[in-house]
Amino acid sequence: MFINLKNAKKYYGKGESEVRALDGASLELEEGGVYVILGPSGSGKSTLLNMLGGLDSLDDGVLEIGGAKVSGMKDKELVEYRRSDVGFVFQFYNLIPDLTVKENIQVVSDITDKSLSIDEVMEAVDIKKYENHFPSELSGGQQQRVSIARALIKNPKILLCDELTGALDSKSARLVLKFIEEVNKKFHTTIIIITHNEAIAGMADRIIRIKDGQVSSNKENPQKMKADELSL
Amino acid sequence: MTLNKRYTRNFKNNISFYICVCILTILVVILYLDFDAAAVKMNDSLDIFRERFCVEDAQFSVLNEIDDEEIKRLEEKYDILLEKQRYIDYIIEDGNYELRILSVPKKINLYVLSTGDVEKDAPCISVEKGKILLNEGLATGNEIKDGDIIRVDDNEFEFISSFERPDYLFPIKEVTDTYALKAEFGVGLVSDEDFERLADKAKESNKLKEYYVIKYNSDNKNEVRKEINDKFHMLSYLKADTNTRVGTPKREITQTSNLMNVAIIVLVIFISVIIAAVIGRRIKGDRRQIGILIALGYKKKALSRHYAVYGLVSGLAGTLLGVILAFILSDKLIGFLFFKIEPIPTGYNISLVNVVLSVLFPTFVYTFSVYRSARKVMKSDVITMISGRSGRKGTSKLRMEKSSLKASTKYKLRQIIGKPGRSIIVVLGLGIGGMLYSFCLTAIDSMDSYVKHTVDQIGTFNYEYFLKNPELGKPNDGNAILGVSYEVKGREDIMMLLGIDSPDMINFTDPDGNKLDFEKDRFYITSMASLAFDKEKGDTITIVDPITLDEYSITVTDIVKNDSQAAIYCFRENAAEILGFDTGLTGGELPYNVIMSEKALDIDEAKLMKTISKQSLADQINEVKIGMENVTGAIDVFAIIICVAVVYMMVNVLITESTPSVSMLKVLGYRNKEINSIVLNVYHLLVPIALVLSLLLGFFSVKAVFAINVSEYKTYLETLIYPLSILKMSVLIIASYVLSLFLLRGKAGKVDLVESLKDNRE
Repeated sequence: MFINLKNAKKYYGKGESEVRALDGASLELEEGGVYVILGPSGSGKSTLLNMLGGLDSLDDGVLEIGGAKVSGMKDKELVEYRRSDVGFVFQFYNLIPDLTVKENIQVVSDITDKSLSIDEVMEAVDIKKYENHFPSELSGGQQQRVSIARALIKNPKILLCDELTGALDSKSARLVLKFIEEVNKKFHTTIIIITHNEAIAGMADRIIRIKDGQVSSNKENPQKMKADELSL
Repeated sequence: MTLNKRYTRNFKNNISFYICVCILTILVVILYLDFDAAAVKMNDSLDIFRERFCVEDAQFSVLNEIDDEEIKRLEEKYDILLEKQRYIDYIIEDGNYELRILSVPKKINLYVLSTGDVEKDAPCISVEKGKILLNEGLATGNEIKDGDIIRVDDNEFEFISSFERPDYLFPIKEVTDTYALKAEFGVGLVSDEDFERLADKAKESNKLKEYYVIKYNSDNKNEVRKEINDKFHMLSYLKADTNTRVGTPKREITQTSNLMNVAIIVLVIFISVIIAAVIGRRIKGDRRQIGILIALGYKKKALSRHYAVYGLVSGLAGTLLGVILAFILSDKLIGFLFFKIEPIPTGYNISLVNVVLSVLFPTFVYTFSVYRSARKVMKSDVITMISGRSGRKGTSKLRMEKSSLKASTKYKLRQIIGKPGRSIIVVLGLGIGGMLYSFCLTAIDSMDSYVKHTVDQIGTFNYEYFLKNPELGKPNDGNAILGVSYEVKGREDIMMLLGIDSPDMINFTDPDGNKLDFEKDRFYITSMASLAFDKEKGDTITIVDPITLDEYSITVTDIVKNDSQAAIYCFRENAAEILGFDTGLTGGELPYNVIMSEKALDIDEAKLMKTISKQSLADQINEVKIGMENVTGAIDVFAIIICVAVVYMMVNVLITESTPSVSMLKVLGYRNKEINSIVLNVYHLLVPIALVLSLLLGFFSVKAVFAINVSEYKTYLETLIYPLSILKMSVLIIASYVLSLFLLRGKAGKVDLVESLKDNRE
């Protein structure tokens, strides 16, 4: 298995105010698939994403990705892991406002030794014509495409998307999801999308549901659709 | 109000920032209270000292002694005070210094003990037998303590206290001296009986000097001078205004007061505004919370008041601590400020008005600035505030499309250009901190250059011997000079008219180094005189004989390069004419009263009034240079505090304002070191600009001070700074800059990479 999570636990707070964000969650995923994780607020899906992305560490349990044991990594090792293996796309894009589109991508390209061509990636997500624009000069959908390009430039093994269409209208959302689909095909990148939106689950190879910090279901999607066909 | 619980948390979370604010505020208050108030206080105390202790209006010497009866008659006739005063100079071999024992004054130039108070204590007019008083500069400079024995010409005196006289607050040996060598020359008082004993012996070796001091009560100066000249044949007359010993303290204090009034107020306002701006900026980072609180129903006014408390607390904490430290440090700082003159014995109470002002002004500026920033933030609509989209202005749109610079370099450039307020504060903070240091270095280097080179440019002579009475013809050794002091009409200054036969011992060149012809009936002024009296080639100068009050006008033929003496050169014949000397009575022989020589001459002490050596000019400047070097350490501390604190605050603000970007860089896999190299190093590009600015500010401030001092000290110092000093200054500024970044190195690492992402919405 490419991703292997066993009995993952992550608690916040102590005593009565203790929150069990992950409470024995287990999950196995193959490389190169598109996975959608669904769950209500507070179910632990963002915590799971943080663990997969090396933004936080488990209190207990094991997480292995691509054969590397991510759980138990020290801060410095987690930095190296994020640097080479993980790409992030966030709901609010998180672009650096003082850098242009091209520079926002370049800033990641500068720290990776397996960088793809900036121009090719920009063309792939159709933002080449905006390369010298600043984020504040772009629409939400355009910014999210820049965010995807920035995540892809280092050719990550895993692309983590947190509510990536949450701030977009349906037209922009469809376009962004189409690019995600193409990225998966073109680069064979493992893509994990966390969302509230059940409709997005339609494009997943597998649909994972989380409840109370545990994986309540992990099923293959028998009716996988193309992004174009989703009713967003 | 529950909201007030945020105060403690906010101050605790940003403790280093608020400590920085406090340190700068403390510095501002100390500077204002101690320096500005001291200058005002010194000014008042000096006026009181001069009036209560009856400082002379003028001093003069006469050919025929004025006896006590005549003195009484003149006093009654003209409503004046007139007193004969005497002194004897001794070399104190035990201590390697020169001591002038003065007769104890009874009417004019009365003294006060250093432990006393010029505003409260009655003037002293006697000294106990066998005891000696010394001026404080000499006693301190030679570490003389109470009970020490001072051996004066085989007589032993017990040192009991320091004292000050209003006519020796600037204790120079000759009135032509420029700076006081406090450890090498000073004055002392012994009892009348002891003085008479010393005087009897001194008379034999012609070491006893006599002169008269006068205090006018009516506007009849010219009548008095005329009668004294007619009856007793005045040899010299020196008004207090032109007497360096009496005039310098007043001018020094006035100049310092003026400088303090401008420089300190500017510095105080500058630092207060910087701090206010920085605290204000931090409030802008709270815009989302402000939006939420408004959405919850809080009134904008109440919130503005809530935020204003941050400014209020920062201002009060800094200013109150500053006031306490100002009281503790006042004596040391006052001594530091007026190190050239003797301390005036008085209490230095910092005025209540100044204390109130020093607390209120910064506190008000900080509070108002924060209040204004909060109001400004609240001008956005609530939704925008909550979404975090407000306050995005200031991002530079400098695209640099064709530039091959790295993205991180472009980011730095945009941070600098897009937030000009922040960048200007960094440049000014480093620039002003550096200026304090470059001011000292420039002044020290200029003085060093004077000591090593400038003084030698005057000419090849090394000594000028001033004779008591003129002689005829030429001396056996050296060159004959007829030298007379004249007052310059319209100015409270004196200038020497030097009649010479040839300029062979003088560097007779113009300021550009071109050799000048020395011609009869022509008058040449030194470059020093040109600067001091603002006269150029072709201008007319009117000089006044201080004894007869006769006036003469001369036209300046050319300027002679000499930055050390204010003088007019002419043929000895022309000087004699101006003096009214009739050569017909001397068979054509011209008089001289000064001998200029390259080597030391053995001249009878009885004939000699004073000796000026070229080395002494250099020594006096060197003394000031040493004084300046001693205070440079303290200046360095001020400079470093300002540089470190300002950079620390601004980089702190930069990191806070860049938190979303820093967080994102972390998520993207940037190492802390790499993030620091982008975020902390933003202002690297500004350091060279700040360096140049501080260098220029320091250099031109010194130039301005030297220009002001030209008329005061009759010495013009060429302003310069050595390359080594530029290097030292650069090291200090860069080290301060690096230190503040070093202190902040963990700041970016503390940015929470998960939490901050939640707040980052474009």
